[in-house]
Amino acid sequence: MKSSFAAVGWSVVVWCGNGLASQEAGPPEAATEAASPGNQSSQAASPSIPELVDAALASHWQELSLSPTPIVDDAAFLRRLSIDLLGTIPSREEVEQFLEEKSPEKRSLKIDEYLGDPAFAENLSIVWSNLLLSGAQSGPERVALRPWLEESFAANLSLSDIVRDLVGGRGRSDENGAVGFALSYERDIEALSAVTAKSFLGLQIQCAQCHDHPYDRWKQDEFNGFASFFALMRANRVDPGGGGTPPVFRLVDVPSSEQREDELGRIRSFLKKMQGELEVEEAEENRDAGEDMEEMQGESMDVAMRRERAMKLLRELRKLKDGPLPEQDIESFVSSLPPEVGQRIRDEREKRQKFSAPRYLDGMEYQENDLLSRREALAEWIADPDNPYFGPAIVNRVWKQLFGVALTEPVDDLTGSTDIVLAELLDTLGQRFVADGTDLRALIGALVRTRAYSLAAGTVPAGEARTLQERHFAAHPVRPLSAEQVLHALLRATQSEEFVQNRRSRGEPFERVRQRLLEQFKYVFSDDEAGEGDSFSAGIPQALFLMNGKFTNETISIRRSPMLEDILGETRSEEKRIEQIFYATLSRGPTSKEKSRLSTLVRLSGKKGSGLEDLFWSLLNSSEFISNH
Amino acid sequence: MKNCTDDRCSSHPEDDRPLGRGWTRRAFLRDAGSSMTAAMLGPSLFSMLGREALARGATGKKLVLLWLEGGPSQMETFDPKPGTENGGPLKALATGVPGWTFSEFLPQLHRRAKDLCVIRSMSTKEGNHSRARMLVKTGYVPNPTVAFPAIGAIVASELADPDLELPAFVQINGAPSPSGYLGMESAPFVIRDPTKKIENLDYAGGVDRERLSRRLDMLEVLEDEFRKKGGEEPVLANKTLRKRARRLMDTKLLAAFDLDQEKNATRDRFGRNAFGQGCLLARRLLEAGVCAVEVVLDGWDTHQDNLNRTKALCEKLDPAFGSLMDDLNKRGLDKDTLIVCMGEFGRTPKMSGDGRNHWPGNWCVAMSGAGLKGGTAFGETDENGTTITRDPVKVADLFATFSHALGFNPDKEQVVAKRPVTLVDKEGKILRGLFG
Repeated sequence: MKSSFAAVGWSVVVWCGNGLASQEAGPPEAATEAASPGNQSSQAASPSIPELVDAALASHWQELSLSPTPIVDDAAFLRRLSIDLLGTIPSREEVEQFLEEKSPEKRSLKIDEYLGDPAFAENLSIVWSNLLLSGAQSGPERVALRPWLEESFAANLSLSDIVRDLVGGRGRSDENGAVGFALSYERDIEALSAVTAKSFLGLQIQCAQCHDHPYDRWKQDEFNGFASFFALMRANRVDPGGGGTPPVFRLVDVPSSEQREDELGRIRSFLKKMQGELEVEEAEENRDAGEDMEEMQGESMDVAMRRERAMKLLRELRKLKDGPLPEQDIESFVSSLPPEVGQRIRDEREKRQKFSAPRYLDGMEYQENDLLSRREALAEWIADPDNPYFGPAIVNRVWKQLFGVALTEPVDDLTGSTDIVLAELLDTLGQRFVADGTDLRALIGALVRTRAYSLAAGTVPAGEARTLQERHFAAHPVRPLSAEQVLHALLRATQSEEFVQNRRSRGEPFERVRQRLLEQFKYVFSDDEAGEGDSFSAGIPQALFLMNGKFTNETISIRRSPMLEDILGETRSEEKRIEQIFYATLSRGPTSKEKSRLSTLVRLSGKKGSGLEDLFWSLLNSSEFISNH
Repeated sequence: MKNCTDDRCSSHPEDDRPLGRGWTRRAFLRDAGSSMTAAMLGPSLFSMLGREALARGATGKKLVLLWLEGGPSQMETFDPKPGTENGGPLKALATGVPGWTFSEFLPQLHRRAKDLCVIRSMSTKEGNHSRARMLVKTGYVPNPTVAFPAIGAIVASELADPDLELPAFVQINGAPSPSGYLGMESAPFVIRDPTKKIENLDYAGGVDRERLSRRLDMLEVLEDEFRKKGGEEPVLANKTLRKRARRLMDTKLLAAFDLDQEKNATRDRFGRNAFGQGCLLARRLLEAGVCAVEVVLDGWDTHQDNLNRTKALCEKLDPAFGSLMDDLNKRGLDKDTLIVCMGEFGRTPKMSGDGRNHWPGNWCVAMSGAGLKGGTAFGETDENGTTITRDPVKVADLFATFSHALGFNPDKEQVVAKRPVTLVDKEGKILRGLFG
């Protein structure tokens, strides 16, 4: 399907028109654009996103003398779409149905179907919560976020509203799951600032934490100014939970006008804590003194001096304990404290000073006020339609999720990157995303409707030529599945939702069991501690798991597999049986070569049914199964 | 023969090139040829394997990296400042060498000072955990275009016995060290719990070697097809991986992973915790011929409660490191084994509350074996521990020194993303003063 680039105008029209024409359906049709929601009004005025993208790529390829690969076949398209949008592979029934469907619109209709599927919102929530929690502590605070994201995506809330809640939201974690994001970072506002800037603005500012960024434009002051927006965040646990229910936390912001009180309060509680510790120490030492008089006598000067100092400190703290803290000058009060205590409080104050002056990344100052908390103000700034970073950052990330490689690489380094393809396209798409209401579902829908999305994987030998082809989107890359995707694919391919059900203890929700299984999977399949691009990692443990693991071998056994049972019941034709197992696993039918070679091998297995089990096993262990291609 | 799918057949050479984006990060392991060398069961697994490897020209040198994740406080470990404000209440243990002390938290290492070489003047500029980790593990400042390999992967690549049935690089706990552009052949085999059996090593129920072979024949048909559709990289990588997995399933050397073969007294000596048992496992693996082992101890990022937490960690580090030194010594493996103990940076000499924060300005590396001169303290810091007064050392210098101790060529070049890249940064200078 190599088109001639002799007449640019003509070829551009051809490219745009063929976005969703199935290869099998015959010669290309006239240009029809698949309308995506939110685009209707601008249809007449401006080109649709698929048109934009395909046109830009077509002329780009011409400049670079690159030939794109042909459009991928129906089976491969279905599988790719299912993995990218739903995080799992299609069922064998679905595969068969799709392949038999004659309508030329079938790919477009399938896209609509998937976008409306609950699994779409669920998958999106997994992807985004992995991203947002990638630098966070692990703990119960995290739990609330993903379900909230799923609800928001299912309701197709605009991404700007979602971000407003994530960055500025407050309240109880069991009422506003969005707070799970900020809560998971606890007091590590530096990490929270870094992930906020990376995820929503595509800016890598965290290097500027300790020093001015070596080669990007960010300075330490700017980092501190940004992080200051998070400095007045306070979290406390309001319900310990227990017996299966997670604890509940509340996230609030100290009002600007109460900052001083807040600081004094912290000093007071710090002094109390210190006093408490010393009292415990004193009690212990008095007890020891009573018991081991001899040991005390042998003590070094060092220990005696330390103890005396501690006693003195304790006496002074008791004096301060219930007295009023001075209103006027925290600084001189702190100076008046005994050196050990004073120093520690001074250190904390220093940290506070560092993050006391919020400043937006475009240099604009922030005015303290009681109407909007700092975080709410930041949220507004990020989601503001005039913010030049938000749109492109999101588009770049979504692009990468679908095409395997972003327009600007690394995906979250828009200002520091030197590996940029089609900068103008990214800007345009970013602006369109914002103008069209930051509709994430529409963006995803539009991008999968491009012709470029449906290109086949490159078949030139792997090396520089292929890398170039993939980098410029003239071929679809072959990528490993993420740990979650492998789990879902295995469950789907073996129809073993029931297998999972059987491992439940009484009353345990399916979600919990799936989480547990996923934990095991992540342990075995994930190498990426950052959690981003959580790809399926192959190592010996993974190979052993797939080859010898209980999961694989039980779910494929003739005796236990509901799917094999069904297939054996549906048809007596060995050829059809093999085809069905292929549909279930690789989401395609076997090639003629595979048919002939494999049926021989199946027959060689002798024992009834074991040949099919072996085939099933080999399909699940194949590289094709664990790849997105 | 082209149609041969026997994993043990050595008649078709493997393409050894490193694989592309998305697959190079994976923990694939090298295909190690096919000849089975006889293995010995029992406590002493070393020798036959080792000697044959030597005969083949491998240097026989090995690396153990004790990785202290989080950045250990030098003030409470290898460069204490007793009696100063920064130093806090800690006491220090004097060695024979003037000005060289050990923290009171490391009594066993202190006793073995004559076999230790401590650099106190490491100095870097990365204060961020992941960047610093990459810098210190790979010897290069991380950059987006080149994925550099960690020292364990370099050793596996350069020094491994190609016929060894065990993985060349084993890592116990922690996030997998990267093998970068060296590819999956040199990536570590990661174990989480050294006391537990490796999972899924047994043939599945109802499956014997013959049946597994038949399954692999079918698999080959599928892989053939996928290769043609653009999947040659994963196909090649997975093939290598399965070969290694099968080899591991069948090798007698698997006994090396079985800590139950050690006496209780030995296991107690190393410490009954993941790190201690991990160091014991490291010793067994070295005996069996593995050339790179990394054992990770996490928890050193003491922004709060520094003193107590560091003490608790030292209670694990001290006996494990000391016992490892003793065991290698007793078995004559110390001359060829380099032990390196370090983290990604040090901690602030000045306390911050009851914690210490990140401090790349001056920190320590403790080493032993492989021809290093024991009883040496290299480099020095001032009395408050805030500046280096003598012999600052860059990570590149450290890596140059590793290359000298282990006998691999630091200037070996590979072209990555159109640039020539050497195993060790050319800026690095070998610290000759550390060798006898």
